[in-house]
Amino acid sequence: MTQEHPPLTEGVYYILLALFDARHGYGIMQLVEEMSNGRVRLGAGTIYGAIKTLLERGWIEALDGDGRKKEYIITESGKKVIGYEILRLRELFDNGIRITKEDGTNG
Amino acid sequence: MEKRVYRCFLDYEKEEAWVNDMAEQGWYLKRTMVGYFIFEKGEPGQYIYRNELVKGKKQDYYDFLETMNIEFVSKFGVWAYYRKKKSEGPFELFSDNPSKIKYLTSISRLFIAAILLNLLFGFINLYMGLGESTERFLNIGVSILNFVVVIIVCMQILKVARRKKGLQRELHIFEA
Repeated sequence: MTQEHPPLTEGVYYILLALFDARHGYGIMQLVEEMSNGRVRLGAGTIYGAIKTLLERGWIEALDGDGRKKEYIITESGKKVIGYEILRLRELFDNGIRITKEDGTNG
Repeated sequence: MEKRVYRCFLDYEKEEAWVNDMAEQGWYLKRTMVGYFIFEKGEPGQYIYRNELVKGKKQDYYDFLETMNIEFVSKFGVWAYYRKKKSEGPFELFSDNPSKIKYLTSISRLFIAAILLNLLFGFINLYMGLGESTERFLNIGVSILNFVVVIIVCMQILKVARRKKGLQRELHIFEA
């Protein structure tokens, strides 16, 4: 597995996942909170900043629509990034389970 | 019913905390200017207020906040106030360390600009006050005021820098 960028923050990872369907800011916030059972509550300023950066990188794009409630959707390169991230998370997960199992700390 | 209060804060976080205290008592901020606040009476404890340095922020940012059920309250210069219904849960503008650090950096920049400006005018006034100026005492007085502002803003910069350092240290072991 080769990855050309550092690990994503939890917020960016969830924002990208939320944008597999077109959503506006509020929709992103709600879905992320729902997916994480209320654990991850993204701040409006944080989402806004992330959207700006993700647009610049071409990982998401804005859909045409009325200006007020702009919707965004993930791009192909964004999906590639998510793919890499899932592989990285699986590596972390697998190694964590393997070593803690051997040790007996994880039951 | 309205309440007008003159109160000067050196620390923008303390100001925000005070505005939230007022909201707890049913006094809701309506408008603000430096050191001057207009509150409106309402049912206590309905809103959470946040302030933000909004230098360079465009209309699309306020539109975005509006779609997140964040109500724009007032803006004076580069400082804005928002509020959100308490019933909708906690309200923070920034939820992870990288975005908090970025915000603190923009605040530091504003403070540094304020310091440089006051130093410049402080020295100009001092120079005029010590020279042949007809308003010597006024010049010296203003220059002292400029230097006092420099000291106060320096203290705020140190505080912001300490907070930023703490957040950066967390980033060494936490992802966000």
